Amino acid sequence: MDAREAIRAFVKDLLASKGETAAFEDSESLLLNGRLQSIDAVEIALFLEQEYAIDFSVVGFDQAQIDSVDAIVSLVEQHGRRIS
Amino acid sequence: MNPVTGTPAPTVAPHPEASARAPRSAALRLVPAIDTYPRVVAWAQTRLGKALLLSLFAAGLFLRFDPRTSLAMTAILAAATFLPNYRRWIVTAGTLLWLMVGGSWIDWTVVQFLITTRGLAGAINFPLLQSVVLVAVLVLSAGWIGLARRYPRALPFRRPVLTLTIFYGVAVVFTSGILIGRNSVIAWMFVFTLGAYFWFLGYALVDARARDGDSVGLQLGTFHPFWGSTTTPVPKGASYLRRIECKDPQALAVTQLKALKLLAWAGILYISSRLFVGIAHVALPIPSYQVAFNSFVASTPFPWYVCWLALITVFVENLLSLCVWGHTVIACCRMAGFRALRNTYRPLEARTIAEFWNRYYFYFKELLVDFFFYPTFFRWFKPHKRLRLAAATFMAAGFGNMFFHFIRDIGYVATFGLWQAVIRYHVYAVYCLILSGGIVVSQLRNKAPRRTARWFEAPLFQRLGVVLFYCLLQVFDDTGRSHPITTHLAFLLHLFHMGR
Repeated sequence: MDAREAIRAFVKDLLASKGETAAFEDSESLLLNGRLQSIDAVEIALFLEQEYAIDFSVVGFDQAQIDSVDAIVSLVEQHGRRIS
Repeated sequence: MNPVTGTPAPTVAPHPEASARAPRSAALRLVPAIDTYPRVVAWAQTRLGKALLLSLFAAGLFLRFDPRTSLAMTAILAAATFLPNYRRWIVTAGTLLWLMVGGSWIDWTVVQFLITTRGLAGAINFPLLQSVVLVAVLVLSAGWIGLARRYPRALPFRRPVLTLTIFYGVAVVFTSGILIGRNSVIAWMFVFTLGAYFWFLGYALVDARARDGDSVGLQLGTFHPFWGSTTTPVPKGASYLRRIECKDPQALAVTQLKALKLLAWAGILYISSRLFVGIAHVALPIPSYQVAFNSFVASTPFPWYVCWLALITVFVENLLSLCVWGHTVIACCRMAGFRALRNTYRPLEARTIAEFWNRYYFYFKELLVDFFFYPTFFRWFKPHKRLRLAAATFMAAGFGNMFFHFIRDIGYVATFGLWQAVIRYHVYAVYCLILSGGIVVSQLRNKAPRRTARWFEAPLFQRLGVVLFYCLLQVFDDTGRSHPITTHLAFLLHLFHMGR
């Protein structure tokens, strides 16, 4: 599974855990439009820390970096490396 | 438990825009979902449609506010509607115009008290000083943002909010401990004004480090924007505004239709609120919470069940008044062309303490998350997932909450002195401790609610439990520093027919 697929699957699971089953585009804003909350941003950040070794204390954390699947993929491409 | 990260699942339900996606077919709508009607959305993009939409919105404002306020707001919103390419500059101009026309939004009661008690009424031109200090703080902020943009890697701007906090702390200590007489009053005016803009400047300084950060001029437009705020920036700072700005005519039309709906809903809630107050305190002999508490302090308490009624009544009143205020502010913000989320969204549907906190005052929670939760979470206790979450939550809902209100009510330092102001703050400290403890437990218990289409499908007792927690918590929600914690505890016991 490539990074985009893995990230998309994670986001889909996260939305499903909140009862959100509607489809979403990779470019779609998830935090800004209210489908995900700040605590969900933490979930995504933890996923990226564990799966791609992204250290947000070094990179800096901004919700905009993880607002959509496209944004997360871009972040992983810039700062991540697959560790599992 | 999240299957990948192994952390407790979030206990927060989606926010409003998400709910807009899921049609509530069975729900009774007091305000029609006009933003989902394609023909209405198309029509709202025409010049005539925009003009009529603005007129309807203005009519709503005129029904609630004085003509001068409504007219000024409508003029700014009209400019933002018809000149979308200049929207952000119109926000800045509108905010400065609002400040000049509407006057200062800062509470100067304590300064006027200082002037009177120190016999300086004849020695100080208060209105002139107000303007001078306001300009001084805005110029200082502009210079600070400008430097942060130019030297983002310089030591003071690497942790800009920490630097701001240290600067502010030094200003408070210097003003309260060293200055006397006229200089002291002038310095307090500076401290109050900077305190009022503290979080606006905080957001701007953080944004100044971003590669696509706004210019100083655009940043100043977010300093208590014309659509309203408290000392909590609504909706957050310039970075957020950039991201939620409508990029095309269709997005603008949908957002403005939502604005009109929200204003109508705020009007309905306003009428409901007035009716509720009338029924509770006029038709029924329920005392206000403050009267019930003061009577208890004066050893002439109302019966415990009357105190309960007062407590529940003030909970509902606070909720309605926050909804009316927040919806009106967000409606104006949306009308200006920004897709802002509601400040309060169906809090009574919350099934956990954390979820209620998220739904009750969204932008205050976001402020605490941005400035306290994330920095703690990404720096500390990394190997310990639950401890990490708990520590970050305590930093936000506990420490951050205390810090925010201490700055907001910095007048108590001028009144009581720094030490006494800190000591007397212990009641609110207990409030923050209980609140953050409740949120932590709520998150760690991993009782993530499954979102359902109809509210009654969920166990009612979960919602009642949440409301009961926040109702009782109000007993300690006192930043007034008039009574010790023992009095508040005794009142709590009285609610359960115990104690004296």
